Amino acid sequence: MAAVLRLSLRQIAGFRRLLVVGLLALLPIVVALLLRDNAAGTEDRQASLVALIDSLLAGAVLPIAAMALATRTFGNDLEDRTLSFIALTPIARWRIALPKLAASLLIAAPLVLGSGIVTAWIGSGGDPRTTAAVCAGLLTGVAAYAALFTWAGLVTVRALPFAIIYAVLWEGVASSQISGVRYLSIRSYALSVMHAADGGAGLGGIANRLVDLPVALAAAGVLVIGFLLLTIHRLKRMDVP
Amino acid sequence: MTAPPGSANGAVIDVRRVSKWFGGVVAVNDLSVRVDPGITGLLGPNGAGKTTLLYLITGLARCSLGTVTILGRPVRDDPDLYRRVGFMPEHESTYPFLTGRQLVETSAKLHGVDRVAEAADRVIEMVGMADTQGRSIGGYSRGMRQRIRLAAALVHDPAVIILDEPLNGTDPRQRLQFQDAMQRLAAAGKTILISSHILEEVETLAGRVLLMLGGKLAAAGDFRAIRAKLDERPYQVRVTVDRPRQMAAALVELDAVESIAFRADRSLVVQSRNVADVQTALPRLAAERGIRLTAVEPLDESLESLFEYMVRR
Repeated sequence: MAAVLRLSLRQIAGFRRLLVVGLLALLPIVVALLLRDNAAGTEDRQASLVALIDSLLAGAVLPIAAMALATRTFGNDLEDRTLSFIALTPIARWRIALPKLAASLLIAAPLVLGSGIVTAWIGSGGDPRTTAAVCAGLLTGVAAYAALFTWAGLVTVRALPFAIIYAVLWEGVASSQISGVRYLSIRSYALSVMHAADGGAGLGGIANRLVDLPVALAAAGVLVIGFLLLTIHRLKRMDVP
Repeated sequence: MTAPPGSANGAVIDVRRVSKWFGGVVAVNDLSVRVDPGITGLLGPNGAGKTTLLYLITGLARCSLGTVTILGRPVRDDPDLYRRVGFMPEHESTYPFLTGRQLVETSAKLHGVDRVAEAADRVIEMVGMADTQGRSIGGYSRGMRQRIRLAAALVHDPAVIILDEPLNGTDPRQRLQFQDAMQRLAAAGKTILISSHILEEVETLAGRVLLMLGGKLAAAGDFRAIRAKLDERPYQVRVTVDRPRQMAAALVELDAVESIAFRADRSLVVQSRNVADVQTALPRLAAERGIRLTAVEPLDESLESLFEYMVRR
């Protein structure tokens, strides 16, 4: 598995891709700095933090960073036709799928979590609990998104458009307009974990998007395992280009 | 390291009534072949279905109908079989960020080779890449990429070696080196299947050939017998001159010429079973008769036309 992991890390860690995702991850930090300087008081600061985390971190940085990196874990192999190099080896298909998912997590998680930690620290005025809560929520989200988009990258060479449509329409529009969608929304799972870990103190304003913590954790776990199994199944059944 | 034939009929590679279609396009049509130890050439023009057949044989693609076994084991859903199979696809894609040696060592690790460095040294030496193994693949020439990919396909010492157009981009010296390496592997008992669309490439390597055309097996058997059949066919050459009727009158006296046809563009189409004689005689005849010869163009030297001729027979 180590050889597949090393290959995958080098495949997806292209300089331009990391630069774009890195700049995107800087955006919430810059906005948090601007808001901190302009906040009128504690309530104002908390409201700004909630809006920043909900809209920019969980709504944009998290899915975009995950999709930009995870769709490439198999996407590069399919486009370059290098998947046969790995597929024609005597290793079980799960030992290909797992390191691919791990590679996308190992690159996406530090960028997303780094952005979230700094943003939450600045936005909460240095509250360690809120910062840890944001970190836990984003970790849940990045794991679920990485599993989803790793699978999507194997199923279609047009994974990026699919991922953008999913993130904008489902996670963006549908989850904010239709209350039931939160039960099927990775963004809601991430926010629910943040809210629960924070004890509702600094992140109380996102309550309308939340599901219960056990539901959020179970659903995220099912997504990760489910899409990992689908990826393994696809690897077994597909015609390798 | 002789590969024990494993299927019920003793074949190392056993393809039985295999078809493969993509939507409405049939790429391989009800094809059955067996491949035994030694070198077998898979010949056919571009688009004949050779690559699809090799993908079916290696298990990279699923058969729409039929079965494929290697050493008696179905090729799909059995990754462990790849310990004994080495495949080099036609496309030259690889990881440009790796050095040649890293690619070979990665392949060795993925195949569970025990002594990675030793195995890599052996195959890199065999393909003549010892001096350039430390360079990034992104900077390799086409021929170098082919050779390092061949090394990666052979690093685990497979009993069954399947190579799709392995000589693409290689120079004459590299071809000789490749032929020598394949013959040594065949002598060691390996089963080697090599595809090519160039007749001469396979001629020097394979004793047995499989000829594919239009997704079907057009012929299979001893190379020399098939080549003899190919040599029986007449060739066509287009000759462009300023006075076609005078040239036709001169050509018709040659024994090598079977027929001559006039074309609207004032050229002649000459049919012969000895095209070399015709091509030698043409400048002489033109000079003797003061005819201006502007072009001599073989019309059907492509492998496809040879195969079409075979199939019509």
